[in-house]
Amino acid sequence: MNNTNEQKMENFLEQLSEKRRTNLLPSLLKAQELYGYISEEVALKISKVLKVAPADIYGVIEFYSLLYSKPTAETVIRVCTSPLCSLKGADKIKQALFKKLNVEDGVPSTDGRFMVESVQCLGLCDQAPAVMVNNRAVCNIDDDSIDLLINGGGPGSKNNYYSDNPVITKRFGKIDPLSIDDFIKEDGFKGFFHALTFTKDELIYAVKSSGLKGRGGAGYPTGLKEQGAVAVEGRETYVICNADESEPGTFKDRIMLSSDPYSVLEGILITAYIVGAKKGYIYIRGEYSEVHDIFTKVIENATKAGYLGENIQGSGLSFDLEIRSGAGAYICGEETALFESIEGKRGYPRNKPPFPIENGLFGKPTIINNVETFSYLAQVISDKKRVVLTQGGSPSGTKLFCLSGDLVRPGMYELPFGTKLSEVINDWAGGVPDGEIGSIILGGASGSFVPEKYWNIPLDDQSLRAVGLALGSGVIMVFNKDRDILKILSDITVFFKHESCGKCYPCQQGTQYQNEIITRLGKGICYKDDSEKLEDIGLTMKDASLCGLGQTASSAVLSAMKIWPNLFEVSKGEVE
Amino acid sequence: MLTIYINDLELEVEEGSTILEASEKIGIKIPTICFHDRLTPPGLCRQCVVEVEGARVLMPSCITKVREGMKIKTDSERVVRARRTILEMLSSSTDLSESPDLLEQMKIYKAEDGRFENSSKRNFKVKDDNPFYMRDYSKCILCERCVQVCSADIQFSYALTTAGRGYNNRITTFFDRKLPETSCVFCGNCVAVCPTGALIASNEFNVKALGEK
Repeated sequence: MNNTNEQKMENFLEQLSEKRRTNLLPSLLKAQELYGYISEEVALKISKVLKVAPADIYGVIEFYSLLYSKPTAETVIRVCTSPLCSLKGADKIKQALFKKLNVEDGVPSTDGRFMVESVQCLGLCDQAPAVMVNNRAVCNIDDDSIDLLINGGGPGSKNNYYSDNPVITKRFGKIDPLSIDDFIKEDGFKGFFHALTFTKDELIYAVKSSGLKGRGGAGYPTGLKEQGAVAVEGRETYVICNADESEPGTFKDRIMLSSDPYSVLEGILITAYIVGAKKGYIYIRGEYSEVHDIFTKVIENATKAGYLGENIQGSGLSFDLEIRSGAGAYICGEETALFESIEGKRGYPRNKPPFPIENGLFGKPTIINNVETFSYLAQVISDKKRVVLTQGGSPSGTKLFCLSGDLVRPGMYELPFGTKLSEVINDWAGGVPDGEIGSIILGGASGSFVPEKYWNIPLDDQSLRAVGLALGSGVIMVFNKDRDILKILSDITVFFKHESCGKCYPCQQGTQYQNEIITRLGKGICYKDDSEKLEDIGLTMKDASLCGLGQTASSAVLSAMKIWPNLFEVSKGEVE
Repeated sequence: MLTIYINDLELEVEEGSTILEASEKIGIKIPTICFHDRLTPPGLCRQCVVEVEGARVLMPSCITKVREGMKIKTDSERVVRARRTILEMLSSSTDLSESPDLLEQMKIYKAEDGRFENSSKRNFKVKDDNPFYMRDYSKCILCERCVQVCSADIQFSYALTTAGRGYNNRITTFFDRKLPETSCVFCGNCVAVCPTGALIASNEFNVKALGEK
């Protein structure tokens, strides 16, 4: 073991203010960074300092994709194989890398220099195909960039965003994202100061009547959450920002946090003020190391400028915010799995009830919102006229949409609710290059294929719900006419198989069998009861799974079965 | 006392009881797998799910508390489909030959044994690394009872953990060490609560039977 690394690890553990289980993931990530893996020796060292049983530590290492119990390599190249990258040639890139570096998937080269590994979504779907070379994203890879990326080069990631009437993206490109002065010049913290002039009840009333709903996918009214958390005042309360987006088709947290991070901080501060929280966390997915660096600076600058810490801007509010990094587990975006992860455990979702607002992180009332929700909240409160986002029961205001797939201009769009699906795709994203739309998935990998008769539907909750669709977190994936539906489904079901935590049987088993059947169908082998089997698996997952991941892991398959039943049935020339 | 309705039958139950407890009182049998009356119910097998009026998804009866006026169906079409499919998936992935309770449930729910073809059926070599008990994880259904009793539910030895993720979850020790090299104290609690014969005492008969596999 390298002495310097050993010293660094010692120092890291020594400086931890809390030597307990909550610091397990940070410690393991540190060990991973220093040694390239976590050995028994290092795990035992951590066990001793944090007082966590060795077996539990092993269980945690083995749960998270970015933690390894065996040596990796100096350079780890992670090739995204999720649906969008897969369509744009991820497999070809992978094979080329295997050949050039003479390695197999996930096995380090004999000289320990390279390891190439297939991974799930990296959140770069608008710049597919993409890979991560250690901590650096390389995007839009073609044959030429393969050699470049091996040598640490190749095109990096960009923030593609568009809007003609921006609300929460209004500062994008106008400010240096790291400069708190720039932010303040552009009306930054106006919402926070405005909030200080109201009582908590008035603020909750304002948020409730604004109609703001959670933007992470579930759509729970933000004001109701706040009200619930305030109801248990007197107890320690936590505010958490969920920046663990990891679902194929979703990349808005990345763009939001690297373009206007202080706006998210402002929303977090307002929430802390409303619910009386003293401590908060922002949980950023492990693959977003650039975002992690940005937010580290943001916290540093905000603390210096008196927007974090004791008695913030003389308001009486004292609040600390800590960054937590994920370690490669989509399930940790599920709120209760995220709590478990911060507590230093395997990312197993909890049974609900109890709900987070009464019993969340460390068993305390916790309010957890998506990145976009916090940013929007700051806007709602900063407007002196009460912002009303709900008119006639359907939301007005804007929403972030993530567009990816076969499009001229994939990227993030801030558009008014109610914009028509076809308008978003054709007018905004430029439509399908040299071709026609073949299929559309709304809501991400956990969303559904949209029947052609609804391709013109207005994108708002009410219109969509009426026809059994959901906006989810605002993901729109577009595929041209040549794309093979079974291939798309195969990639989606691989994603869920890989990301299921395995706690509950329906999802642990269902994601496996669903993928096996779909993959076989893709090879042209169909049995006569395949539809029935897929339906039993799909409906069992939807009805009986413990959390939202399992409950939606079959949505794409079930929706495709309705639109293209013949793909799942024995027809002439196929094996029965 | 609260008034609830189970399969249209009105009954009075104590506040704080679970649907499972309330059903048992009137002789309605709800099947369970991971539930053990002396352990913290993890609510993970989902075999005891029931339909509760107004709920979007099925509810696990072992941990769902009754509420005033709750209307519950313990054997609806959705419930039966979920239970049957869970059994069919389990029997396709795992050797259930030593799980009499699960085999009985399969009969009741007309579950087809091994209905799903499986390219990665759970198949492991028997671990025979100590004089007291053997571990045949081909029979393990990941109910995690062994991990629970080894940890805070009974023994506080913390020798066992679940490792891996999803379908590849597995019960193991710190870095897959042999049991004598872990904090295991061979209390036998895990063997006692294992419902499928995956953990089995190393007596002569068992050693012979497993050795022949």
